[in-house]
Amino acid sequence: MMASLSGLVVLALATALQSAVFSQIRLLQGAADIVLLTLAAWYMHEETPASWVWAGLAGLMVGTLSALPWWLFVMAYGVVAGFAMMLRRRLWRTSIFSYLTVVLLGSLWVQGVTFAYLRLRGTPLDVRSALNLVMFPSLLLNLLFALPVYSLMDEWTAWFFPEEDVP
Amino acid sequence: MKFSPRTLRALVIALVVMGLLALSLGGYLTPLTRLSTQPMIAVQTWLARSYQGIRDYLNAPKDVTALRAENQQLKAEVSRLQTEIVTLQQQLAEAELLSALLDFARAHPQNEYKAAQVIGRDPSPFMHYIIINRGSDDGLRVGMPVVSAEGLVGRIDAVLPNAARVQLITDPNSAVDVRTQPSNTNAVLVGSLTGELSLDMVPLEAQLHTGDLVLTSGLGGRYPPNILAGQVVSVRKLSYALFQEAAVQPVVDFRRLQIVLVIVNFRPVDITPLMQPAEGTP
Repeated sequence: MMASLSGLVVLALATALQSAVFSQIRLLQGAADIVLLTLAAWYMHEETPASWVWAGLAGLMVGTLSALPWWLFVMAYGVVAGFAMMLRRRLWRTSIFSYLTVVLLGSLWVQGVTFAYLRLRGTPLDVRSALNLVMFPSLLLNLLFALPVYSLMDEWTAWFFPEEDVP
Repeated sequence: MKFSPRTLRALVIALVVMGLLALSLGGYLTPLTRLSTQPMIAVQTWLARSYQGIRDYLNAPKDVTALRAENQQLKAEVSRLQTEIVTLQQQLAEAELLSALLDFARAHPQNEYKAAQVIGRDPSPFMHYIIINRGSDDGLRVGMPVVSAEGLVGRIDAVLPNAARVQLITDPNSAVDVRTQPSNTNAVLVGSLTGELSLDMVPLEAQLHTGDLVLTSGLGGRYPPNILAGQVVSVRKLSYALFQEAAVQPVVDFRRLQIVLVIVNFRPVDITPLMQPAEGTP
């Protein structure tokens, strides 16, 4: 119960940080997605309970702040969560490389879905500009912040979900 | 004259002393004095040096500890003062900003303003929106225009009880009816993914020049008229195009927005129903 509550606090904190700080740290027009990094780190830690609920909650929180519809984030983060959970099931042990894979593909997916939605709604967006100015810089920033976020989540999981000793 | 032996001895001693004094004053005893005092001075010097060395050795650790403590105290003081300087600088910047906002409000007395602090931005980098710390509890409604000391910022897009989301004029979905000055041409100011502004729907025959000011026209009922939005920096006119285009430099630095003013007495007019085609029309 306490661990789940703390998970909620972590996601809320990540959302607040995303809006207040990381959305303002721009590389060209791209920005890091700390919520995605937190979610990916959450799902790639073997000790944490893997549930769709976290992706849904994160999507709702970010969707509340964003001008984009909330269901877009729920769907986008849900797919990332599904991919991470699949990797977690398939791999004998998850590693930092599997986490970086989730971050890389997840970033492209979330940005791609956002771009597709805006284009469908008629927003005048150029594919090349979107790739060069938003998607690739965002991906680079995500990879840059991925390791610190993973380390922080490592500490957090060690605190709330201590690994049981195998006799 | 007879002297007693006692008196005679005293007299001799006095004479000897006076003689020695006379010799000493005359400098005749100096070599003798030097010879006798030199070993004493040497011994005393050695003793004094040894004592000072021992004293320094014994006192040194105490001094280092005291110095370290003092150093820590001074470092803490410097740190505190630096924090105070930063706080004061922030307060000064805020005061300057508020002063500029006050000037803007005085320059436009017909409007009622509500000041709000920018507390966040849209989490998606595709969207150019900001979050402010005032909401419906403060009388804010969807559609209210938002300005800063420099000029037009955007309009409120969504409202919560204690926060609101503002669409910036740089958003790719933003379109503002504007007119240029002094050429007095109506146009539409549109945003883009890069945050650059451009003028659209400018007739080819319109005389648009670099340096023209771009102000809201009030057409469309979404913004009050005569709010400065930017300045024309370049004009592109193609003979085969229907309209000419112009790049606009915004007057507001959207990356450094801290405090904005919401015009609360402006009621936007929704003209969407008028834009629907009437029944029976093709």
